[in-house]
Amino acid sequence: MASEAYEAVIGLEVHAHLQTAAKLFCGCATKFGASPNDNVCPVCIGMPGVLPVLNRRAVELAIRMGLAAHCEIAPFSIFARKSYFYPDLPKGYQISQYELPLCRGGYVELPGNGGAPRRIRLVRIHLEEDAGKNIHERDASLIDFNRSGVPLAEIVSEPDLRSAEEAVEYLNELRSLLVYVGASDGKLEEGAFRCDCNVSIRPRGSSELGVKTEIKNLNSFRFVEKAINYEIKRQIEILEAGGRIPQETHLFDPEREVTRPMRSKEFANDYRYFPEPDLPPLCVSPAMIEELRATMPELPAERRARYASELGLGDYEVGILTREREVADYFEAMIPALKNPKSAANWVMTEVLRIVNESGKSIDEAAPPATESAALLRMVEETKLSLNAAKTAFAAMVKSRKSAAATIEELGLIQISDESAIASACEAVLAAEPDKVAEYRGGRDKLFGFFVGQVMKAMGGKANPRVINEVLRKKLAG
Amino acid sequence: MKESENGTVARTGNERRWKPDFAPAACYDSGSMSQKRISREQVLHVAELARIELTEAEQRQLETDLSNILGYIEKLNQLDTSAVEPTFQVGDPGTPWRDDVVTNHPDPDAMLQNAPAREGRLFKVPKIIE
Repeated sequence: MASEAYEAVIGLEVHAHLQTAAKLFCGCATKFGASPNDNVCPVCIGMPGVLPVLNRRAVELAIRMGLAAHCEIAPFSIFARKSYFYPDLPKGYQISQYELPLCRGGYVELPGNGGAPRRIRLVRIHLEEDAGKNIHERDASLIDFNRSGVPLAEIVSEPDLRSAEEAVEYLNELRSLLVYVGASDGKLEEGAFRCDCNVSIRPRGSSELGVKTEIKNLNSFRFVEKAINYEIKRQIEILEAGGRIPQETHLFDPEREVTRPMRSKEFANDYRYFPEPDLPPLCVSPAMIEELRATMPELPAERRARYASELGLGDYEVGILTREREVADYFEAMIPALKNPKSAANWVMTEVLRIVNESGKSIDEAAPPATESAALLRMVEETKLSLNAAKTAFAAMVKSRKSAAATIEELGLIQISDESAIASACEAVLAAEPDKVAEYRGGRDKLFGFFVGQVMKAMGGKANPRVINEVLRKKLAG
Repeated sequence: MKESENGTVARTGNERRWKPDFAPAACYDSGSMSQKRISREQVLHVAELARIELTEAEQRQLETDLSNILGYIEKLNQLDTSAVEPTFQVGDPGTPWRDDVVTNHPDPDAMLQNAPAREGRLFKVPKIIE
């Protein structure tokens, strides 16, 4: 950062779409990419006299997210109206939660990267509806209400983050949690994951908070990182020049990579929250919470700890394997068949993730099933297959979708470990090269590699190199 | 007063001089009126948030009326409710749910019928100044 004398204090407010089929208060589809105003009805375009009815699935997903973040789940919470005027908000208010949110407190644990895991505390997670989308044209604005009423979880952190990099790590972890609990598919389509950042700086070592700038509506992790770094630098420059930082709301300009203050007209902070009279309080029974708790998956932090302690994997491998639930599941499905989980870890991180990244598809679509990957590695462990042959087979399987056994058969990749077959090939090579044998025995050790190569060539590349080494050493010594 | 499409207030000339007739007369008694008064600044602030324009006479009237309403609430606040649980809901307790099932409107185009202006299937509004 620009100066070692200052420390950044960052809190994030994240808005994440909850992946339901229907909207939060009506039955319109939430599906992304529909034609404009295809998924709208009187409720989500704010016709007079309509009444919202709460989608149970959205509440369940928000609670699952709350459980994943160790929040206290409120048995009794209320919805509130947040009033402001903007054309994408058809009712003139957003149904949100203000006092008495659904989830309170809690924390998100970030990987330690060599040190102890860090906990970022949460203030709250609440449910609210999304607004529509404005399309600004030269002389008019056009509005699509397909997104209006899509359920959002607003996840508010304490100002526990200390750098742009840590903020991005936190966002990655939140995204990961949303996918683990089934609240998101992790494909961050336009607007599905948005973030407001509160950034201030203070002299390093101080425990007081500086004046914060709020940066609004960042819709990619990259923009969050750039905006925070820009803002920290800007604030340091103001303080170093003897100035004071005014409390402001800024917008990030992704093209110029700067933040600029919004005009005060652009944000009226007086939202006049009051309890939503159209919705009764949200009552969540202990039975409902326990039912949801019982179906929670093992979470990334728990998996990280287990992979490190039980499987002996390093921080880097653990981080990559647990970030996506489907990757961790794939890896774990391979382990039972194998003696060494580390070989499965390396396999997933190299072969499997490479084709996933190249294809841009999910692991299930892009890669052969985990059991088939495991079958290949099992044969490597049993020395029936060389690691290179396993990779060749895997590449073929990605295209053909055939089983490991069929592919190896078809490509003739089985490794020959039969000592007598290898011994006779060795004898033939040594018999054909009496001069070189004499040179080797006379001290030219380098020739050993030549003999190995000749034997491998004679056996069509399928012999087990370890066995060739053993046999040749015996024969050349004798 | 009526808010028109473009957000400005159309004046009809016969705005009702409304005075809540449901409140006890005592609440309007200047003697018992609360110390809390709504200031002209507060009236103008709320009017701006609600995007309505008020004449000088309306501002004065609202200043009095809103103060009276507040006075009435103050009157209610005199009752000691410290031992009473707040009532959020009457009738059947519990949350009415909707299942997560898509029931799209059969005729989404009908949703645009009331739009003052449209462009294709999009609602069209005056340009939002950024």
